[in-house]
Amino acid sequence: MPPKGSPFVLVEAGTRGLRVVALNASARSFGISLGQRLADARAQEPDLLSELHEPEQDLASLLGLCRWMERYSPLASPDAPDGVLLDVTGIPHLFGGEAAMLNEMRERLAHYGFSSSISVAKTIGAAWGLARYGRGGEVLEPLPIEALRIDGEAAKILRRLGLKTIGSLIGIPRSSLARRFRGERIHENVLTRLDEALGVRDEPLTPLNPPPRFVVHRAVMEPLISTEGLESLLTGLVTLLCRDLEKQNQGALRLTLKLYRSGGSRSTLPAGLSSPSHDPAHIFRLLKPRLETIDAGFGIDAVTLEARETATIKSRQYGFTEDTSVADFDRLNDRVMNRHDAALEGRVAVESYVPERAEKKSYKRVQSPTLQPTKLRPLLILEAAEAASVIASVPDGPPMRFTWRNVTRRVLRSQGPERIAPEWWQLSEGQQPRDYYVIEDDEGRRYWIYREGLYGETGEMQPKWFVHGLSA
Amino acid sequence: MRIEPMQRSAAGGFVAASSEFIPGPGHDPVRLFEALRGHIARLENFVPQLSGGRIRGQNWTFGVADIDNHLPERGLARSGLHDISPNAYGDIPAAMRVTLAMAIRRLSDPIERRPLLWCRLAREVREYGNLYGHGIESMGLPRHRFVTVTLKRPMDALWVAEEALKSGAVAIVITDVDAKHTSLTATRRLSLAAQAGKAAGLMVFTTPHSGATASHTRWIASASRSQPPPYDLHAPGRPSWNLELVRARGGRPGAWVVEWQNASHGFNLVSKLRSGEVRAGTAEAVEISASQGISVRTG
Repeated sequence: MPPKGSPFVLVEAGTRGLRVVALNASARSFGISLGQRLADARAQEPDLLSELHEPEQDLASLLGLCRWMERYSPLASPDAPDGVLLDVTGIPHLFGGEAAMLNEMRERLAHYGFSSSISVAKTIGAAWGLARYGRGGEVLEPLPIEALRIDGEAAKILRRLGLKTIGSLIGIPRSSLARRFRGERIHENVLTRLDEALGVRDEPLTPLNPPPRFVVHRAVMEPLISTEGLESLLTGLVTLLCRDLEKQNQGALRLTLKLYRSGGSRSTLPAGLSSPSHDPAHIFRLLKPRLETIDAGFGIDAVTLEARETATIKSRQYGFTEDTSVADFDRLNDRVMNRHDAALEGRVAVESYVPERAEKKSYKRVQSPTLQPTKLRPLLILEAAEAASVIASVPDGPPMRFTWRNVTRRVLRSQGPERIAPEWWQLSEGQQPRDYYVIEDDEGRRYWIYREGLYGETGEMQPKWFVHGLSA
Repeated sequence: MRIEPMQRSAAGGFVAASSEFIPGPGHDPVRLFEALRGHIARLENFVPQLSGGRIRGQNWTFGVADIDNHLPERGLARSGLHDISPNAYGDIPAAMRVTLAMAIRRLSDPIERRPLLWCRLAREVREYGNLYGHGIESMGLPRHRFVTVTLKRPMDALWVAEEALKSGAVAIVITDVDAKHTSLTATRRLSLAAQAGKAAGLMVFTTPHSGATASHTRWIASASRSQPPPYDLHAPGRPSWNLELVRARGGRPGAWVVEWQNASHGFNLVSKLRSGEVRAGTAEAVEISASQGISVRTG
């Protein structure tokens, strides 16, 4: 950031050197203008600071600003490169009227260091024009035709025809305009833009965060502090939400509970479900433990419960031989997931001979058994095989004594070797074939150990032994 | 335990006059014992398992008459809590495996279609490794019948175990937890949750447990030398364990050596004589070492 008040410009590399694409008020006061070459600007003001323009950063910061603007309206949309559109229908009275709302926006934005120009109008087009060219006015007619969101080419033609303001454009018969400016792209199409600005043609606003379809809100007269009070409030909200969901045969998948403190702050509690549900008891049980964790501060005076993601509930009748506990199981999973950072996980068999690769965890319940269960596998498999020092007969005898975790064990029985070669299609270099043995020590405890490499193969590389699994 | 007069339990549907407790002429001692057993079961909140087919499904037995005779109602309580401690530190995998074997006995009941949930702690996973689905399948439990969950704190594991038992969504919950984190209260909660959800809780203590628990049965397990299969005298045979029933509510203690048959999902009793034979038979060890050539130390 340059020091405040010093002339500063953003430049972009063009065909004829660096050009100014943005400038601050101080730079403007030195007579620097947009599109000027940086060298010329430097000649006017030798102390000019410059920085390369980064459009991606601009866009990211615009999105951030847009999210912040959601405090005024849930329907906020970024208008690249430098605008934010808000649908404030029915909102100004919450801030004490339109003028007060605009003032607050201006003040807050100025506080953050943005220079802003804000205006309110009935259509997106009109608001856009007034904010950029209006200079505080509220009438569209005297504005230059550029205020119509048309591109430079169309504006140039209009100006050549002597149509300099929107007012003069409105006076022209539509048919003659349509004949002349029937562009392919919307920026060229003067008539469309004019209709949008005048509200003859509808223009939808695509909000950054689409509002949830299922929302219930409840405000209370006296701020609530006690958990019991909040719980009873939550019960009501959950019942309402579930009724709405049920009417449309929908089930919630992701829920957000927003608690507004009387101090002005807000805390948000998310909850997730593994299968869509509109069962009030279940949803309440998911949210209740979270409620206990929040700090009510000076009390909570409004609560919003949103179903941010929903899915159609398929009513399903279970067959006579089927498992009826699926629903119960999903509920159990939801409770575990929302309370702890863990989920119920199944084990999926993967087609691989390498033991650690032959299985992976899955958050879905496994549906069927492995068709050919592999033989001689231990109950427990270590996350990483641990080195052991082993006495075995060369070249490929089973271990007779081995030391692992500082304890020496005498081998009573062993079965093996089961040779597992590295999978050549896995592109893992330097892997050696493994010879696995099932070992029983003299106390009856079983180990699954392997030797990596072979004796007398390359000479310099001695094979190593590892303990990979435990069983008994 | 003091037996109260029967008027109190009339509401519960059990009617027995106090005179029945006096064995005299004209009284059938068999019926008297049945009545007394039923009464004790009621006091202990047992659901009688084999009485008149009131409960569907098979009894949860070991399939070994010798062990089952030591258990009340000739089987383990199907909605109760049982705990298994290892005999020593190195026997934890043995305790886990014998627990799984007991669970498989329950899950092989065709009426029982709910899965098994195994709650583990992250530090136990680091120490003894992950549960390996192929290993569990080779014991006889197909992989769609079990799920696992790994938690960070022992209290979380107990919470999940309780919720899972209560929910009725799973048939069996196995929890690996350090004995010092459990107490009479904690196990009592689990026991009540098991009753509520008609599920069985199996606790595997990672340290030998000496305190009181509210379990229906308490076991101590350790690994035992296996009998080599007839086709290969050097290979380990069927998994076998020393199993000791330390305490059984309504049963009596005992100790056995059992083996597990993967194919038939059944326990086998190994005669103590035979297992003793092997221990004495050092000739076998000599034979093994003689058959192997030069030793080399590596790694």
